[in-house]
Amino acid sequence: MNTTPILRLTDVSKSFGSLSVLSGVSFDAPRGSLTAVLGPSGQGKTTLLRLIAGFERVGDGRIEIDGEVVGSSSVHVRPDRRGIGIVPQEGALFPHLDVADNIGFGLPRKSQHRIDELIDLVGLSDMGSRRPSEISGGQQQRVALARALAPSPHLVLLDEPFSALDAGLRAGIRDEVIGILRAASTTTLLVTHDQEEAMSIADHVVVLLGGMVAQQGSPTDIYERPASVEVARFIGDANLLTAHADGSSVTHVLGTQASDIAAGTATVLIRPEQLSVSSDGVPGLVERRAYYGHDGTIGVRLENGEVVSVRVSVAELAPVGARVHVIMRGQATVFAG
Amino acid sequence: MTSARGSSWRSKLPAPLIIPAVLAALASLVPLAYLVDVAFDRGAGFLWDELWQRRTLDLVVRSGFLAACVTVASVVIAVPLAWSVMRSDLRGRRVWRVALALPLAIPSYLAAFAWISWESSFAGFWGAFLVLTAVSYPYVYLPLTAAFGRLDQSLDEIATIHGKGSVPRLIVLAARQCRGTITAGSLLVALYVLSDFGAVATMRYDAFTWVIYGAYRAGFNPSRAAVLAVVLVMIALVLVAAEAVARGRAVSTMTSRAVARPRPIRLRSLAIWFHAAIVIVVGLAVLFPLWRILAWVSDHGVEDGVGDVAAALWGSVRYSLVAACITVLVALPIGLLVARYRSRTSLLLDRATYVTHALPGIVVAISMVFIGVRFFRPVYLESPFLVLAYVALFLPVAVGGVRSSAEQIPLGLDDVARSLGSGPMAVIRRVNLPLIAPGIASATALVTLAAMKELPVTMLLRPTGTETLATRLWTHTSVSDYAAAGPYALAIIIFVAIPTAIATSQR
Repeated sequence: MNTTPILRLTDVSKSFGSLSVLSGVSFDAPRGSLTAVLGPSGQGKTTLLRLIAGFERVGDGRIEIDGEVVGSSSVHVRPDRRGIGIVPQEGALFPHLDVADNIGFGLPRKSQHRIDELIDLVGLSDMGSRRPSEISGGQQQRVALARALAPSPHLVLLDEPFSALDAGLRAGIRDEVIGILRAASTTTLLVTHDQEEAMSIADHVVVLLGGMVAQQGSPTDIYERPASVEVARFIGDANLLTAHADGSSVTHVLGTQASDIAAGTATVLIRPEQLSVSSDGVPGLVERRAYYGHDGTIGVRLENGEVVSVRVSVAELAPVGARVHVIMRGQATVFAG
Repeated sequence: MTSARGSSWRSKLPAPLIIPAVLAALASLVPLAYLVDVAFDRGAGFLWDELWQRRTLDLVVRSGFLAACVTVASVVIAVPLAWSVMRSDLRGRRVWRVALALPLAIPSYLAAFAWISWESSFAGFWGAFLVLTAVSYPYVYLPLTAAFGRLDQSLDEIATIHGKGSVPRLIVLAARQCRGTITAGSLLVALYVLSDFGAVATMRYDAFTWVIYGAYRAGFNPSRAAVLAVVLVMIALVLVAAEAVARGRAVSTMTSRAVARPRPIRLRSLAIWFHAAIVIVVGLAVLFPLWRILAWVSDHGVEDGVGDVAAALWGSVRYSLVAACITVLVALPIGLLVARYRSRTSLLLDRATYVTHALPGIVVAISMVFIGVRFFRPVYLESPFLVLAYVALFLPVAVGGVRSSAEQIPLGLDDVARSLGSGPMAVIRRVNLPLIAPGIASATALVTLAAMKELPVTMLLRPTGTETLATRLWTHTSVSDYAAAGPYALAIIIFVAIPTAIATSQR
């Protein structure tokens, strides 16, 4: 089996004038995988996508698609010759064409057979002659996906494709789109700022912070073993507590654990679900509570003044001002400094 | 999220667009360049002497005074009336809103004809002032209605809570929030007054355009005409530049978020005054000219005969339609580049068409005459030359039309089309052109109508023996043969003013 990654970025950098947007970005998207580039707004995600698609020139470094260099400081393959499908944020369907013609836009010969195949694939069988304005937002996204898949691209780029949809529809359409891409074993790169979205659907997550890759790995890796305080803070809810390390262990308000981190001040990460209220443990005062329906969280000010967020069942959702005891399960993640 | 400034803008311009666009922009600057050349014909000393003559300075003062008076009057009319039709509970405000914009469709020489044919003592400053105010206040009024419509009403409410909610105070409050829009509109009015030929010529007011025409007609002194034209263009360029700055500010201070439809402010007993003011303005600017023209036609019949009017109409339509098609074709690459590619070249193209925007018709006319006499003897005073002059004059209008419709296409569509295998030209052909087709059609219609009512260029460059509605009306008016002018005026109302009103109200 061919093991060349479909997409490989090596030390890719880009700046606009004196403003550096990306620096030294490297990652692979293996054949048939779904890779998510995850980062907050304004950290270079869109620029990265535009470099891969060929809308911008690479400043430094190298982009390869299926083993062929398509972008470097000296090479620039035009976007129309890269064989990449894109699904933009709002679908961006051609308003003057009907659904079938939108899907057929990228086919060299308007193969009706291929168009019908794709219309069926995305479940819009009797809508070929509708205009984009006559179908719903979710249907538009599916047409955009079919249009991107029609010329059988090496790679499909999804640019925040679900963020414009209503929250109620988002999960359903997302599962559907991902299902279609998986069924077609299409290599997919999803750009998103929604960490739940990235964690729940991607095989591989690339966290982009400040134009650099802060960490990459499986969703579990990134959640359970964040590489830095910044990543920990960005991915999921995080309690970051100060701790003291002596070279063989660290001590923080909720306990002590073995750690070979250098002696001195340290920071520990404890997820809210690692904490619970109990009859003994570290005493504290409930400062805030949030009710989510299935469960909730309480913010507890501990005896040393630090506030931790604790995930609790609805029955344990104590009122503000209540005195509780907090205990920790499992190991905290330790960072130096 | 669109990060950084390069995002969504392609910087590499497709050569098949850029070459015709640059050629067209350069060609549109030729009249101006040649004008400067003629102005220097007799050396810088002559130029200097002409400039510092008493009569030149008088001319600047006279034109400036007229422009200033018309501008002030336009603001005084436009601000309260725009406010009343947008922010108050004035009855029938939707109808008034449209009626107050109608004078824009009436050519200045037609309004001037109506007034002077009624009372010849209007000739001079007061006639020019009245007519130009009546036809140009919409340049303040129209953008202001749009700006007032977007104002947040919460300021009105706060003012009212603090006991400062009287109608005059609320008008001042709204106007202060839209200062930029009013400034930009005022500069357009001033530009219009300085460029206008028809009204000052009919009213025999010695403003720039009329004096330039006189110097040209005298025949012995083309350099003086050119010098004056250069001075006029300089003033116009300052106004155009200031307008661009003011408009930029006006846009940037505007709230982009959607505001709730404001609750209209109650005028109560003041409503009658607003109704009276609107009736007077619409009456003077629209109904009076219509009534005068109809009166002439019904009193004197169709003296010239229907055949002559038809021939003149055909003359107007023929050249205008051909010119409009060519103008839009030439404007297409410029409009597309400016709207969809950000680069130094497209910025320069934009500026170049903006400069030609500052060229008054009479200036384009005489510079084309100079060029024609010197280089194009065989076609000078032939139809291609008139068409060429129209193209030079109306290029900015066409570029504006193409540009504004091209700007409405999301840039993301081009990206998607590129990723689906279309090259830059295929994107234009398969995505951009189909989407701007309605914009192209309306730009063609607007240029056709503008060319049909154009006077100075048509007058100076029309092929020998060809008559148009505008030239016929001008010829008869200039010898005070108002009875003969009537049918042409009526034809201009029917075939130019009404379609223009319809076309502009649909935009």
